[in-house]
Amino acid sequence: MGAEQDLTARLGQMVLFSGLPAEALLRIAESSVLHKYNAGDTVFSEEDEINSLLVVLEGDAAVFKRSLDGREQVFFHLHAGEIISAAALLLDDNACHSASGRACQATQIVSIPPSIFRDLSSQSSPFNWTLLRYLAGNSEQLSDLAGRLSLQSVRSRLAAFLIKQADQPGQTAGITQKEIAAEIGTVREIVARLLRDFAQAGWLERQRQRLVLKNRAALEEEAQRW
Amino acid sequence: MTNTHVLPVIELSLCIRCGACAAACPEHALAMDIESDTPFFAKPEACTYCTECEAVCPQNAIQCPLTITWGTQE
Repeated sequence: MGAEQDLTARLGQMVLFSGLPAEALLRIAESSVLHKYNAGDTVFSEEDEINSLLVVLEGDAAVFKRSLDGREQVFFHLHAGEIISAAALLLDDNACHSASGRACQATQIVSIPPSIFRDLSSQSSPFNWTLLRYLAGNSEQLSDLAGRLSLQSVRSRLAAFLIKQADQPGQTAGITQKEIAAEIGTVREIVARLLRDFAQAGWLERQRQRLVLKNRAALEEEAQRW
Repeated sequence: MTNTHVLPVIELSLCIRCGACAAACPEHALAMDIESDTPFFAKPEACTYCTECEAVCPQNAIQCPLTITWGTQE
């Protein structure tokens, strides 16, 4: 199978593109560029001009902002089938990324030219409906994050994060305390202190590189505290 | 094979040879190599994975990744 046919097939399996006819998928594949990233690679940087719709084929990329003192806040993760820059491309011809993107593991991303994306948006109702649902979900996710960051304690956010991580089947890559801090909107020192508190309370146990959660009820009660 | 001897990961290309990690290691598992002036695990078996080296590294050159799993409640 050629590279374009392979990309056509992979795009066709994604919810966003699944309703498109074969010739439309082929046109997207022919005009797109496939990018491969290793863990830690920058996918795009804040202030970079947006010159394509980015579609994740496989892997995991974190979208985040970094303060002047180096603190980071992760907004969300992009996984296979998810996209970024759609809203900006619909709003503005000269839009720039408002956050940065970094691969968290080996990640493949295809960049689709704005002209192709806008053609799809103006011609395909099924595509638009799926895109609308995707953007609405994105908006909900960011609203939830804003609420948690402004109204929930760091302790509760950490409990929620630990449960979410442990519930993910097949989790293989580890996460550092600094990365946990960037996910929940705090600094490494606070994460370290809270992990010690949770261990002293018997909610988890440190086994070298493993954090073993032991009390789901207590962690869930903490995670649900607002 | 157990995970007993999993050690912090040191990315020497980021290291500025400041020695903060070796100085902070409470178990003296980490030391600075005299010849290459780079940190290394002189006593790997003494490392408790306390993550102090990761915390003090000004270059984020040391990483102590954690995996998060469920265990059984005692």
